[in-house]
Amino acid sequence: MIKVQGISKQIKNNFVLDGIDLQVRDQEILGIVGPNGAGKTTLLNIVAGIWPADKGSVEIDGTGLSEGAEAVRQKIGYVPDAPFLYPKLTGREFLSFVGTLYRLDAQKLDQKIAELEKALELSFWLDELMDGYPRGVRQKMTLAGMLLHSPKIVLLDEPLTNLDPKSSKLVKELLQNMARSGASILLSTHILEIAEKLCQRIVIILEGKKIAEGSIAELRALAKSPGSNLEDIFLQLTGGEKYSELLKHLT
Amino acid sequence: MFAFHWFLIQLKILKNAFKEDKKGFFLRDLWHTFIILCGLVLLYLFFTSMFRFIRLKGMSTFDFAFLFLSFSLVVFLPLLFYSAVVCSLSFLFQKEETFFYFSLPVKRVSVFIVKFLQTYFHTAWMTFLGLIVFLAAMQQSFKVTPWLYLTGSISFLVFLVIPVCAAVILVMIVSRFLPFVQARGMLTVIGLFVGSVLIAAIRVMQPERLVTAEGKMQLVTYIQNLHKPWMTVLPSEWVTNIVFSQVQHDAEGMAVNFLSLCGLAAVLALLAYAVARLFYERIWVDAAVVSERVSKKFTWQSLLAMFPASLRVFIRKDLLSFYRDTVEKGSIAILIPLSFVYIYSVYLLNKQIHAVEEPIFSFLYIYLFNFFYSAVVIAGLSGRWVFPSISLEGNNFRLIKGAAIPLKDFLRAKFLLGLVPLLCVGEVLILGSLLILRVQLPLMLVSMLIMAGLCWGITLICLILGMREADFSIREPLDFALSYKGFLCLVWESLFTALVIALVGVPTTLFLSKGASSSFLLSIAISLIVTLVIFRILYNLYNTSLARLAKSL
Repeated sequence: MIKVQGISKQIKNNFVLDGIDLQVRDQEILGIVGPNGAGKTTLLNIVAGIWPADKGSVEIDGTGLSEGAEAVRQKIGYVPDAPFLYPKLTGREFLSFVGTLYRLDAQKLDQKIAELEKALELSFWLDELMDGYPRGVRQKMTLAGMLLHSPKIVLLDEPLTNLDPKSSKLVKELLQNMARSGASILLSTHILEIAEKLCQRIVIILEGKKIAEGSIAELRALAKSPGSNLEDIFLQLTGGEKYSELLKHLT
Repeated sequence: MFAFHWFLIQLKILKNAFKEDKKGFFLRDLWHTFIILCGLVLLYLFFTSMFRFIRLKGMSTFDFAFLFLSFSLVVFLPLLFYSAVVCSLSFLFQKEETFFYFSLPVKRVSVFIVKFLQTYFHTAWMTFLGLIVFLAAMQQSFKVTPWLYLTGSISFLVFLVIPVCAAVILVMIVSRFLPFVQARGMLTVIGLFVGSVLIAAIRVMQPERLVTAEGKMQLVTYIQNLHKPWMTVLPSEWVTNIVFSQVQHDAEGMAVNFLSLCGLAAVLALLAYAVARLFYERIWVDAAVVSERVSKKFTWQSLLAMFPASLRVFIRKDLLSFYRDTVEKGSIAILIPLSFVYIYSVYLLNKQIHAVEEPIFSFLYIYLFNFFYSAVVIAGLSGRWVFPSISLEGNNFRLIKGAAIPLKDFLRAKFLLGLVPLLCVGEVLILGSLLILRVQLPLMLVSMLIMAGLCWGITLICLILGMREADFSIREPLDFALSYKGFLCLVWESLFTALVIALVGVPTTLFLSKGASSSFLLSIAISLIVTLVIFRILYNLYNTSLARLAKSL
């Protein structure tokens, strides 16, 4: 379980995050949606323990991030928006390196790599140098690195951005299976359709503040627009109608 | 643990780079190795010749070697310190890689250790090799036990930890209390300034005098006068004492100095570790999240109105990118030592000319050496900035190619951005030097015209080769300029310069020896025809390279 309480972060005297509270339960996928610059990536970086927050706390399965830094990070799998891959390593070498850092024994590591190779359809690429990988394959390789140690806490920043429809479906099913087997998944996305279909609950943030939280039904009630989809709710809650007007004017 | 796995992965990366492109690996990396080996061989020859010279003069080779090593290490301390400052600014703050490590269950301080090792390696390896060469020369001269290599190597490795630790501590403290961009800019500019002063100081010392016995004697006397009692508290003295205690079989001397050296290195390493535990995560995050707000208005942009819109857009982009990059902007400081070396060399040349009676000889001196010196400056600058400028566009080149602006405008902008600064530098240098040499006005004008042609040709050659050898995957312009492709560029620039000097030198020699004779007029005609042919060849090469570039990617 992920518990975020009163997280604030300032950069150059501007609040990037301002008192965010949220909770991701076990077996749950929670989506964070918000316009560009709303603070989604900053929030994920703080939950992953990469950036410190100025105020507030993050608990992973009841342990504060600062209390057991390495032990807590052992439970987390994080796919950032701009993943880092060594260009002159093959996919297999990269996965071995990551697996070793997560202290997986050699036999288990080989078995896990074989499983991911099959599941993510990476057979063709795994022994190629990573600097030649297309963007979608790079994304899948980062996902594979994250899944190696079967994390209990999964953080994903725009995980489906570069994937083709088949791979996208594959990853969605994978995430749903992980959630069913007990993982807590926190993902940020721009694609509202994905959030609507994949997430049990959604948090909408705007200019660093949480403006809404709940299931689609709860958000509809909050926006007082029964029968509307997440895009309409999102535009209504984030003041996006003016953009619709602008768009009409432009076209 | 993490450092060990990281080290193994670096070996794998090296192995894969070799397997992927054996030819490139050999051409690029072996070329570098060859150059380094040549440098080390020259250093070895210098040391052994100095030792031989001292023995011939009946002086103590041992004393000289001792003083030379301690002096060199003292000089290297600030150099290594600033080199480590520049390296740590790069390695400690790498964004994507460090982000990846921070997301893993790895201690933050372990990530710092890896970054420290990278800084240490990049700062120290060349100095270490130079010191090993010194040991080889000593071993050959004093016939000491080969154990000297082991003792010496360990002492040098420990010694090199000291400036790196000091630099890393300084960088972390400055970055903690100043915004990263300011800290980086300030430290880079100070580093470049110190480097410039050292280059200028080396030139003033006139190292070319070392080829004469008198020069060697001056160096020996200079070094012998340097040794002062206060120097014994310096780590450079401790290293020197360790090496020479080994030569004299003085175990006690070795132990005392080794303990002092290791003690200081350990204290600094612990201090760096403690500062890293306190600050490293924080300063990395501050540097990673920083975004710089810039002023929207620049008065100088109105000057660009004279260019057509399609050129203006590229010129503006390149000028803004250059202006906002502290490191690139700071690199302009390289002009200070280069100009100083040039002007000082001309000053020495002038003194030598007065000793020569023969007018033809002195005149040729002016033309050949003056143009040679100035061409070295221009070639150095254009190789650093013009040659990599196309490759530096990286993936954005696709955008430029796909834009509704012709590619030739993009190249015209690159050409202008290269030519105008080079022309300014070239003309100022040639004018300054001709004033020192007290050359008459008509000759000055001719020289300035020739300099304009030289700058034009060198810029065009760099641009042509920049197009033909374009590599859009490069990140550091300096790496590209120093690669074998950069060397090729330098060779072509040198050939062009030699041709220009010949085209000017032959008619002037004939004029000075035979006056306005038929052979002089013929040589002028030939020079003009050859100049036109060169212009035509360069123009054609430019067009074919442009067509080739248009088909690339």
